Amino acid sequence: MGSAFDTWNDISGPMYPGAGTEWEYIWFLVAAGLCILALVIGLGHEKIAYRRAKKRHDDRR
Amino acid sequence: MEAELAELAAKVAALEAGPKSTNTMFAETFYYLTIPLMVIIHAGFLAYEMGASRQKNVLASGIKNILAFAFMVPTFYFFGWWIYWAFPTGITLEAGPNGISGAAYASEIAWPWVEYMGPNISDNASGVFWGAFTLFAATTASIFSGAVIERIQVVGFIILAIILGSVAWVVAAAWGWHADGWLVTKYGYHDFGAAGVVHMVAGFFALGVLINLGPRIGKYNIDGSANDLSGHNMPFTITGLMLIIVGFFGFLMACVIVPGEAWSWYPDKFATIYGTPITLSALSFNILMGFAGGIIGAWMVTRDPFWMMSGALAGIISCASGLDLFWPPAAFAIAFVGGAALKPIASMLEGMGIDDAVGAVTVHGFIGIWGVMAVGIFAAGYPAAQGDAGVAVTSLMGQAVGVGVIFCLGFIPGLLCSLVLRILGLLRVPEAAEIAGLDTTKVPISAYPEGINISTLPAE
Repeated sequence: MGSAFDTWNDISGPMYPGAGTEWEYIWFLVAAGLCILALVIGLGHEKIAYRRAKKRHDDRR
Repeated sequence: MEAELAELAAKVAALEAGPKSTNTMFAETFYYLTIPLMVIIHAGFLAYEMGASRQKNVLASGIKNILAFAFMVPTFYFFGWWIYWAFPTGITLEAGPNGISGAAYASEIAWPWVEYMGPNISDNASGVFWGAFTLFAATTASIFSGAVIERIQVVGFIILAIILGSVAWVVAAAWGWHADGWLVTKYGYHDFGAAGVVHMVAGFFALGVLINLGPRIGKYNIDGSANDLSGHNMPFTITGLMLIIVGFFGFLMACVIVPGEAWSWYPDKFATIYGTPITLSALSFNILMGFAGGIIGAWMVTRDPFWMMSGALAGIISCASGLDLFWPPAAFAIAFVGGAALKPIASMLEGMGIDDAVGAVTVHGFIGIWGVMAVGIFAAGYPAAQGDAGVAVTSLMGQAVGVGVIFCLGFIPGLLCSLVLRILGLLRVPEAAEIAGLDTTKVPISAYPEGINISTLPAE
């Protein structure tokens, strides 16, 4: 990563860190992985919350 | 023949003047529109702070927030604008390498009585630039405003807001958000979206004030454990945070230098404040990724909508310094870390006895550090300014130096000025007023004259 040039003169095209290298795949996988991780953890929270609600409901009956 | 040539020359001159005039109108309109967009940030902070207050303090919090905005305008006009142009090279106030700084230059363009600081038919830039910067100043004051709700005196607060918004952050901006700024020219400091010079300064200024202000009555128990003093209207607070997100598009738009004018960096490209090239496309990618990453990171850790929307802010602050540089998935990941880190940092501060009612120190101070350092970690080696090879480049060390300097520019004035105000009896409201509520103490109208009623039953 980092910059492959030492002046902005005449720079054109993609210029972000890791442009055209394997870092693009790495960051893509990291970003996608974080989304999936968040959904998996969120799903776990939801399941626990619904189970708790059902238990409270059953206990009241 | 000569007459025809003269006519042709006149036509060519007219044709050249046309696009130039269009560009000038575009540039002026561009910055003008950033101003109302940034006012939306203040609508957001207003809703945010009022919602985060307990019912007995709601309008007092609103008044404080409104006055912060109002006092920024004249004070930034009177002296803040001059400070920005005079200070880039440091306290010597000398001219910098680009010739657009120093006391002499500032005195030509930024004192209230010069020709550029009022309606001037030949000047389509000064007012809209000043206006955009004034809204940046007002943003710092609003950031600080939320942390100190429910127990700060109004006049003491306004004095502190002026020091922050028209002096402290302006010096930080002169040093780190100006092409002649010494942090930029000597250390390659890069902070496109002002994570350091706006957010860090405001967040740590608030920390300095909170140390002297003390926690709200009832926040802490004798054993040091903290109580939750929830605001009375969380939907209002969350909506306010979303409005701040909308306004941020204006804020970041105003961080861009339009091309084609005499004062532009390029004839044909947008540029950052440092003169490095940027596109609005890059901003579109990374701003949205920043918001999204911050929200998702905060949701994963807290499931709390307050922290999720604070995560949106934290996400964009995490990416702000490098919005012009990062690849979008990297911006998302950087923002995700910022959002996920919020609650642990806020809990740590609360455990240290710092009662920050809205998490301003966390979101703006600590995440501001992460935002600045992210450039050093993930985007090192970029030329920090326009010019041939040999200009300073971005680096971990350069960003760290910036963090240290900017922390001091925020924290030290906050701490010292609030200490002076405390000694003068101008900082904290009396205990009786705080217990009774600030609305009933000093606001001549009632927020909810009919009370907040439960929903009526629907018609049959």
